[in-house]
Amino acid sequence: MSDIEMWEYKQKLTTPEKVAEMVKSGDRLFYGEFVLFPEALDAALAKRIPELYNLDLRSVCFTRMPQIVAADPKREHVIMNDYHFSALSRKLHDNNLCNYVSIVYHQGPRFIKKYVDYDVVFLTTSPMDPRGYFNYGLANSVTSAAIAKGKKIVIEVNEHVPYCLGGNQESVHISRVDYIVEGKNSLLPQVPPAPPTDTDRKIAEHIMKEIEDGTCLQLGIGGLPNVIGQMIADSDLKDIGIHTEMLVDSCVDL
Amino acid sequence: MSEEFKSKYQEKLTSAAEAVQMVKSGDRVLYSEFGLFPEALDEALAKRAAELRDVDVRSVYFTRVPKIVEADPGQEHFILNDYYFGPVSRKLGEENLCFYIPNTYHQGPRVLKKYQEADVSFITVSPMDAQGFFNFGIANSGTGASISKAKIIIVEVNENVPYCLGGNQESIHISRVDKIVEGNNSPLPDIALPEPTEADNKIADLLMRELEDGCCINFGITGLHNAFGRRIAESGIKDLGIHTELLVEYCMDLNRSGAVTGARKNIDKYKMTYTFAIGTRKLYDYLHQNASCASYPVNYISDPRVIAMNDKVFATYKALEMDIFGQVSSETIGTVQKSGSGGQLDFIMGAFNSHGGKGVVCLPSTFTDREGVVHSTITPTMRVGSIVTVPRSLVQYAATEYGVVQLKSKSTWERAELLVSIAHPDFRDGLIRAADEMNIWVKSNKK
Repeated sequence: MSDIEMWEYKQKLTTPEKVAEMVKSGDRLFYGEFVLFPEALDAALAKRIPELYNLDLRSVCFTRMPQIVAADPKREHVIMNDYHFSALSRKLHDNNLCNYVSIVYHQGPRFIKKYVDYDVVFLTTSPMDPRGYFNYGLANSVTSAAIAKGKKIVIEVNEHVPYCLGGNQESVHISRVDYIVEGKNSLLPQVPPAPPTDTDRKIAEHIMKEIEDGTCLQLGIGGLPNVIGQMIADSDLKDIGIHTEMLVDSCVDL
Repeated sequence: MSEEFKSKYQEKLTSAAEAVQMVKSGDRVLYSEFGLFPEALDEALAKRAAELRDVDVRSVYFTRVPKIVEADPGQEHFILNDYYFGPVSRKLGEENLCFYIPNTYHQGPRVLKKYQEADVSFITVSPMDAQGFFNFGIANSGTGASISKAKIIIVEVNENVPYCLGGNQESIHISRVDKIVEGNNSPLPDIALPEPTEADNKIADLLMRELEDGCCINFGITGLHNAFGRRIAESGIKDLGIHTELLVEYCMDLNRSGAVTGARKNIDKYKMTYTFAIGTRKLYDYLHQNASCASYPVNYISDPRVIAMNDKVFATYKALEMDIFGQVSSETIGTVQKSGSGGQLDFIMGAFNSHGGKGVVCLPSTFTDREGVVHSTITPTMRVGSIVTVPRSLVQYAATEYGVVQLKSKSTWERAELLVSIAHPDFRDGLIRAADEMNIWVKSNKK
């Protein structure tokens, strides 16, 4: 790591509590997507919830219960919204604690750039690399658009975040970051695929008839895509390509 | 005309009665689209109704009731299907005599090429030109694709068909034609835009506030577009471009007045590009050999990627119903098919991707049913059976006579609030109660 980046890192390093102090009533917040939930920043902000009003929280597929929402069971301080409903968001919606932002996924970055401004963006990333980059390639998605439209960019470093090569916009350089906190280094959430049902197996058998050498695959999460992945692994199919929203365990096996 | 083409023409020339002998039971027959209804061939085929079974007839927007349907009220010989569903098909549909083929318009040619074989294609065309081409540019659309999949191609010449410059696939060469029939030379159907309602006029006023110099616009066969066109003509707006499924008389008037120049288009500069034209004789005469217009297949015109190549695309479409989640139906009321999807979804997507582009779904805030009861067109959820034309994930702007709202990036509670704000005032409280019950109304809404 060069001295310049290390110096900048030290300048920008702070604590979750100090970052939480900077959030104001009326702010629009973006949290790192999917499994890159900014745990330490969220926990620190939750302590301030009684004094803050009209916060708007957005992310893509919440994988952990935001503590700022847990601290506000009557929804008087924070309105939580999710661009891609997770099992957690679904449960919160049933209790009127979360709303869905309807999108066609590929348009997400464009509409954020056109129509959305965030006051604060909290991102979980890998530790800084020798060139000064923090990686969030595991949840690339709309993150870069949120960074482009965020007034304050705060990084929560987690040593368990893998360094994922791009493509593009899989990481952010320290020069574009306002603050850095070192988080709790919690393990990333593990989401094992559901076991397939008999119906899944039968559908997968029909799908297998449509797959040929050279097919370019998209596999989602769940019992069905998982069993399709298994069947492909057990078959003689060759030269399969992967171009997918979501990279899953089956892709590793294939 | 070269001697070669003249003699080929004579070789292929036959009567309608002879030509339709090529149709067999079980065949799929394609009729040419929109104003190019193949009148003489249809009449001749209808005479053979009794001896034919299971003939599947398809077209895009029937502008006349086919004689084959009149000859077969029990639907024992022919099944009629329409990819677009205009007023003729709607009426036939109510009598269970015509079916809709769902499609998003720009995919039509690809759907045909991938999945639909045709036995016989009947195409109304202009007289052959000196190079051996017959033109069908006022109904370009999916015709090129259907020709490529048809085993037998029969053209019906009509002297009233204008020779429309392309673009591409606006004509067919005699070498690809199997039989030529000289038709009745009936005038093409005269279809004027409906008169605008009061709501259409108010919505058009609101649209004018969003329209700027250099926008690229489209037209539809609606009273709203009639009101919109009239206002543009009176506005002094400059350098508009036209990239539209449907070319109407306003395009001609606005081009002549200088409001439409196409100078700021990034593709097809200075051309008004379209895939079909509907109007009166005035428009058809204007289109004849006119280099200010270019006719293209719909897989070009309505491809969202092509639409987005022009900047400031301002796409306007009419809808019948919208729920407070933002779903749009433009084609059914309940399960009753009223119209088709056409290119609405294509253009709403394309406009969003255009730099500075806006796609606007427009609907009057109320409608009155046959019993005289007034309903809100903005509903808590879609009516049972209503078909979604534009999903909530793709909708951008919505407009009623009470305002224009932008829905992209909005959470469910924000959408509900925005859509309630443009609903008719008499229905707003009911919509708010429904939103609250459905957990899409939060504290911020209550301010």
